[in-house]
Amino acid sequence: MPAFFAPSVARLIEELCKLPGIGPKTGQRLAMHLVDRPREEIRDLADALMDVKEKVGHCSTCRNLTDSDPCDICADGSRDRTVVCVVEDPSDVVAMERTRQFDGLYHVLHGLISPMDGVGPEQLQIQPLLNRLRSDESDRIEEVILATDPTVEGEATAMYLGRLLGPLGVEVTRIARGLPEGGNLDYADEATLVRALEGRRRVNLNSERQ
Amino acid sequence: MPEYRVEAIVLSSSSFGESDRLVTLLSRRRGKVRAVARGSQKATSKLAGLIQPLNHARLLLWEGRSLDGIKGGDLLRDYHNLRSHWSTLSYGSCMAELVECVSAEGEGDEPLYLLLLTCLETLDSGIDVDLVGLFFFVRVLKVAGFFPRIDECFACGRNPDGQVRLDYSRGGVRCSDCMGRMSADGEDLSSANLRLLSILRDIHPRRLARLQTQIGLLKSLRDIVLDYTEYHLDRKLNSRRFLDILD
Ligand SMILES: [Zn+2]
Ligand SMILES: [Zn+2]
Repeated sequence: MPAFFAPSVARLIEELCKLPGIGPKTGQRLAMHLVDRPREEIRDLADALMDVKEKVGHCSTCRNLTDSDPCDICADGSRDRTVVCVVEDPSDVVAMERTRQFDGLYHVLHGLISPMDGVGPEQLQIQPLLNRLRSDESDRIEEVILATDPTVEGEATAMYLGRLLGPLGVEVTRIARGLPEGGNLDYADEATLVRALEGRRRVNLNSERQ
Repeated sequence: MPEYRVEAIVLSSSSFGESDRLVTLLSRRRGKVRAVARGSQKATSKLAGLIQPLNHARLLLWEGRSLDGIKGGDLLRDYHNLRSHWSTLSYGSCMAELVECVSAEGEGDEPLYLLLLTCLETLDSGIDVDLVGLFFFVRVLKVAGFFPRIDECFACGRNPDGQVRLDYSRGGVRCSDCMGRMSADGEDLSSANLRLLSILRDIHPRRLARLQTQIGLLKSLRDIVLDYTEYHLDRKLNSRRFLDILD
């Protein structure tokens, strides 16, 4: 299809189509839209793209995406440093922050354990979490909230972390099942998320041996 | 669009486009079915809970030109207990992955379906987890038609006695007298391993609970059976390494 376009337009469509959720039709529509925008606007967009690639990295403490290290949340002295909420990815941090009900710290795993896809714990940011709990900060962390999705992968990850963190002497809790099963945390509405957070329960560490 | 109903077990589901999921089912009468669950990545989706891997459900599907779709359905069992424990969840995942490998689309395989269903139900009870897992891996070989010949040595035809060697490519065992000759891909089976393998090949699942075995024996036979399975599938099972990860 791009063969009918000028080569530079075809190239733009091709690049846009590499983005998630963008098919040939949407790619074409976006490209036509971009072609019509004023030069300065396009420059701003290009700058923003380069900027994000150059500046954004992982916070060395919580592994969230950030422009500065430590990130704004980790650096914020007014937050409750005794509670760490463990989530799958940065968009879950945004979802939690939107509720304005949680003022502790986060830890971003960047994925979930998925036995069927062969994604194991070593592919996630679990070691940095262990380091956090064992470091100087540890005498202040009292509770770790496992806030992964209520899916098979989310439950598997929570189970694994529950077993791993239990012996470290920190209270491990799991957000309540109020979230729709199979759903994504970052799609849940704020009220549901707040209820799930408030209804969190202590993870039963003896539940594994049957 | 024509619609049809299936009774099925969800084997896997992966994200597909921005808001859909691609689901693989093992249905009772149509074998493996791949279908899209539109909008199931959204929190408001009624399908999301229904298509969680290892669910047992009655589903209504529509026929698409290239891909069928899931319209809705009723959950029969979600094996909540199985999902809440690492050992049972990892066995369940490994079973589903294996079934996805050996099942065929458009071809009903009721023995395979009933084997999976029975084993998920038994795992959910939480009893004899490693034994049930091994039972499943052994019986899948039988249902899929590549269970090795273990009643006689393939070289000399005699009844094997004592330790034997399981030859992967020949799909059979070599007795101790014939073992010395060139050794292909394979593994040694102790007489205890061989006896257990033969019992699990024939036993009725209801009698499993009465079987007395040691965990060490179960795990050593499981490793051999899965090596043999992977050899014949010509691929590694992703979920296999999760079986012992928390021991
Ligand atoms: Zn941070
Ligand atoms: Zn022989």
